[in-house]
Amino acid sequence: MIEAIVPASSLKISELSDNPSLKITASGLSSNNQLYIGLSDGRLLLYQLPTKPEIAHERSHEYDSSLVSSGADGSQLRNSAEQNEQDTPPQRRYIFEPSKIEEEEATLINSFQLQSPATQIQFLEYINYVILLTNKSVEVYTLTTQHDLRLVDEFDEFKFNLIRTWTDTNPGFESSSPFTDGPDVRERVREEDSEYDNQDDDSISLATVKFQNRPATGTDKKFAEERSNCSFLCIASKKYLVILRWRLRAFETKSEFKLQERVTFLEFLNSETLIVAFEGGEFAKMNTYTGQQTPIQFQFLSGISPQSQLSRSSFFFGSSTGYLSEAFKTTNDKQLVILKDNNLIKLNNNMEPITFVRSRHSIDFKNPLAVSQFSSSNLGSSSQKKLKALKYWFPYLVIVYGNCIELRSLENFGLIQQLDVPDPKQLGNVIDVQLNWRNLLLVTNSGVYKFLKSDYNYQLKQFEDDKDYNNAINLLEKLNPIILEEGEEDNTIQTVEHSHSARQLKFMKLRKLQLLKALTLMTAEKFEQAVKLFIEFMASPSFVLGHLPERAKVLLSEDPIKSSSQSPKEGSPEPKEAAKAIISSINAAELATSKKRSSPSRIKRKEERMINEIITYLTDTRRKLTRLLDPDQPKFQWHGYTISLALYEELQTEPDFSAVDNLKLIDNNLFKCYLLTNLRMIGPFLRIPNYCDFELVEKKCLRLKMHSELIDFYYIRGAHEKALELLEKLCFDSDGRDNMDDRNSSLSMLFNVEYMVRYLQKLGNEHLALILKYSRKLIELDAGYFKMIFMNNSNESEGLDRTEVLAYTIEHDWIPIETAYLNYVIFELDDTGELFVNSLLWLYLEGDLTESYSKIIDLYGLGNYDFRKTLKKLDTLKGEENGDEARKDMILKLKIDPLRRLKRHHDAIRIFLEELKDNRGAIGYCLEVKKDSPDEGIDLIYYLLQTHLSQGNMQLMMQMLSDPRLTFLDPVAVAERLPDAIPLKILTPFLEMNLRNVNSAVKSSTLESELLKVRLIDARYDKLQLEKQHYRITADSRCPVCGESFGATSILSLLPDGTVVHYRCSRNIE
Amino acid sequence: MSNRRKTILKVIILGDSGVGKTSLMQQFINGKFSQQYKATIGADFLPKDMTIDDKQVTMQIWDTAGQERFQSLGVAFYRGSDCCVLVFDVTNTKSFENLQSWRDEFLIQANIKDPDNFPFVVIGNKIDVEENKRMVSAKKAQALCASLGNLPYFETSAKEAVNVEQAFDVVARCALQQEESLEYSDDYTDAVNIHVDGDNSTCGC
Repeated sequence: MIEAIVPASSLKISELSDNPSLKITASGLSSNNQLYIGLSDGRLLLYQLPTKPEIAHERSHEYDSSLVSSGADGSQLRNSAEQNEQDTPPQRRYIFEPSKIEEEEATLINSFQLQSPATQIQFLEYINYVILLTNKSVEVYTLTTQHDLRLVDEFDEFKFNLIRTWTDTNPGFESSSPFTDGPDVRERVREEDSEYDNQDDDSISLATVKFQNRPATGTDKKFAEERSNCSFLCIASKKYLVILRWRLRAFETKSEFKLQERVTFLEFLNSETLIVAFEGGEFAKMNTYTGQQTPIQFQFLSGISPQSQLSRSSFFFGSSTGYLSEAFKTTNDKQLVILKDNNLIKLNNNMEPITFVRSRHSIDFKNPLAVSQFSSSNLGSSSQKKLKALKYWFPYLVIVYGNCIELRSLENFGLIQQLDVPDPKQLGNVIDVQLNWRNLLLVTNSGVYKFLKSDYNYQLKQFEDDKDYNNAINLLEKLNPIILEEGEEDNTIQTVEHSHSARQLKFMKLRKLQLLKALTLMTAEKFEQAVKLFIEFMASPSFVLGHLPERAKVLLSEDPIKSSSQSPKEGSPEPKEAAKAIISSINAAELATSKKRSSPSRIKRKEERMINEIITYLTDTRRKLTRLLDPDQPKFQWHGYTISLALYEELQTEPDFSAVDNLKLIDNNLFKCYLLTNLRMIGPFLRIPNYCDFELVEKKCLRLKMHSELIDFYYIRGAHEKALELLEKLCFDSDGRDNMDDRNSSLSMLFNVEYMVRYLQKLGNEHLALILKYSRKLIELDAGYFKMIFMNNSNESEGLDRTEVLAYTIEHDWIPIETAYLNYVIFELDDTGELFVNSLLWLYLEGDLTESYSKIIDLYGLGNYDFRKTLKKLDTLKGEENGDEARKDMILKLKIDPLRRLKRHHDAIRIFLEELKDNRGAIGYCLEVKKDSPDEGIDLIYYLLQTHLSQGNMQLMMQMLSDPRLTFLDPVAVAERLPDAIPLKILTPFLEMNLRNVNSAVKSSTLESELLKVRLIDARYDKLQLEKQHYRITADSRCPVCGESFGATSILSLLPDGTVVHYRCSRNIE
Repeated sequence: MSNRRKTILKVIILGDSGVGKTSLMQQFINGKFSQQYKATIGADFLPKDMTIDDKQVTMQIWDTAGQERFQSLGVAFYRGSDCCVLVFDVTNTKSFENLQSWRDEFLIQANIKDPDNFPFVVIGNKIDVEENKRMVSAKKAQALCASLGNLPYFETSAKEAVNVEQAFDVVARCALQQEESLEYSDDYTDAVNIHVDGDNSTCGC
């Protein structure tokens, strides 16, 4: 309990003290703090209460935890028995003694004598009316500027028993009413935050999650969205209702309605709707224009009514007529709260009970709330314990019993304050509670008592001291930020952004409370709720981890695997050395059991749940931090803030903790959490970029024999040498046996060398030295691994420095590997660098020529080799190969391509004619030369011809002249080169061939000419056809569709059958 | 009276930006494809009612913004997932190489209790492109899926509606299996299983 309201004074009404038999019969409080008191002798007193804002505790007020003041004499004492308790705040007892509080001399402005005592007083302030219910009739008065009342109208056609007024004008609407005069009315600061309930999805977790078709909630809408600028007076007489309406100041209508039951309560919802309570306790809403009624159903109430079903069926006690009926709208105009059958039901704009409340409230939001008919205080008689009145005085419910006053939260009905009245008789019979934004007046038949609100900042402090964070949050959320005081701890945003709005300040306060609330939840082992708040309000990792339950701290601080594996040897201070020692000490036995991982230390189910919630917090926080460190997305929106890295770091409890420090803390703890609860998450976790302590991970993984996870971790951290060292150890050092020979052993199943190969495959050129170092053993084991590492078509392997890889193969004298690699480089990677082509050529030339002849020819085709060296090499081979004709021919043939490329054509021709005896080959060679250089080729052909002639080899000459590949030769030019004495007979085949060729060419040409003529005729025919297509339209032509003639501007359409119609008619046909 | 429950299966689609996550979802749910690329902001989900072996299920497919890589989405987004679809673009090698990273990130964020057995389905999208533009062969993708624990692999074209239905049918089956395994397994799990009552059951007595 806190001190939210304080009894300030009792109003001195001299008329009552002069005549004890006089009683108060009615009261009314206007917005400018003028109080009307109706007395039993028919007098109506008008008092002016102070208009300056009065707050029970000013800013300077220091909260005294040992004494809580009560009115003037400070009689509210803290329960001394509970004074020394540190953690649970003591329950305070607040006492209200009407006779002991200070008497206030209120200014009596005027006094009027009525014919009968007033029983109800209402106002229509905008039109300056005071309405009185007196002796079953309604009198309407106007209030003059001299505070005189002048009767305007009187309604006495029925016996009226209830009146209710409502003004529906804009707050800033110009008015010159005495009610609204005075600067204090206009200076009023709204206490309620108009935006506080519009942030349903404003939480970090859902900040960017866009929900489609989000369910609309009635709570979003106000009851009176638009102002009608009307004033209403509703008068009830049993079943009859009269509604009078004024628009601005002009009277508009008077409507009369008959209802089915006697009316006991009236409240305007908006200009069209009136909430009516009937004698039977039922509520209905009624249209103020048509009188149409709609009952408000509360079917769910049957189960929660404080009265049992049995008692409700009684003849005498079953009726709900004895219950108080009340209805009011909250100040934000978004909730209608109805008190029915002692249940307080919160309804939204659709008249549905509110069940959906944004997540922050949902934990302690209750609807409906059961209101006790009798107070819990034992003071006074049973009749004095009865519920007298229930009102809403922002932000609390004020529940008045005859012997105490309770303030309760509207959200959860939690008791905020209870003011006991030790002597209820002194208080008198409560007849009304009058409220305005300044003060609350408790009106009894014997006096008027004024209560003031405590300063909200003071209330918040009390809640905080009491560790009542739910109520503190409920209050703070509703408060207008501008009324909040700035505490030292709230300066964070200011220091970072150099300016901050009141709303930001409010949010920082709210964040502080939410985090404190989370801590209490954590202490109460409500881990899920606590973590939810830690996440939503971005608690710093050091704060959360520092406030974990002791058991969690112990679990996370101790070595979760200590009991299940060997501890490091003493005297090894360097962790790196220790890790190295562990790697070295891995023996076959350990390896053989490496998959049989030690299960995490056995922890209890509850502890596991707790650790899992911590994991949830840690993963969420690491995501936010990772994002802040991402240069592409360095900021995000959160509760109206743009969170940058600088701001995030300022929000942390440890001022010197950078984002990276936080990430290290998070990741180390996350790693430990996984060790405790879910070893299988270690792998995925270590594979993503993380900030775990290297030595911690290395040590734990080695101990737990989580080798594959450790290797992934090494990889992500770039500690490739360590990874490869470990892999080599795992793959090869198993009692001298390599695991390739024993496929059935668990070792080979787990860590066969392919793991190491795969690792090497993922390394790029920058790690070539490592690749070369650690691949040697693998290649010696199986040459096929060379291919898997260096020739696997991956980006990594393709990017390796080929020269170095080649040198590596040469260094180890791996000729088949070298050959394969060169083939891969040249023919698959298309890297035809001279080094590679020459190297491969050399390998082939030094090998078996028969096997490699065709491959050498392929290499020749690339053209990028050293011709001279190749020729020289072939020359040396020639000498060696004496006696083997086939080889000799092969070598001679291999010399042809380098000779051609060196343009030593005559030497090549010589080899063809003299050594290979291959005239056709010589001709082919000439043609090959001709491809690159036509003139040179033709000259070479003539040189070949000349060679045959000079050698007198007519047979070869004729073979050449009759070669079909040489038909392009000019017979005249050939003839000129032939000696005159050559017999014509010898030339006959050559001449015949040429004649045939000429004849064939002539025939082809004739044929082509005839075909072209045919094509010309076809083209002419097409032209004529095109010219024939026409349609003649005359003045008499008509469209066959519409029957109308064609105009000069008509757009025409030609149908497939040749009919011409209007374009629009053609559309109609379609 | 039959007591038929409609099960909601939560499926999350992950993958690099521009691989076609939204297109796949749109094609599967609405049978539509838009050539125009529009980056997803935050996350959206769309429901699809399906019948799997006579069982009525509603598949709730959560599409994510690939370009932001988890960082803007909250824990709640991942919790209770029944299946995760990893999508890459067959014309984009990088998107393929990032698959394992997406998988690991998902496991971390969703805090999966049994990561070895959580159902993932891999989809290689955009197979409608010309063969010479394709950078990731089916063989290579299958090899990766095998190494990640024999994950089901589908090659799809959201544009031409090739294999999309088949892929999501397997996704739904995997998700249903996961959902059922959670339902009958240890009560301690982060996943929240939501059931929507189909018919109101009444007591037979």
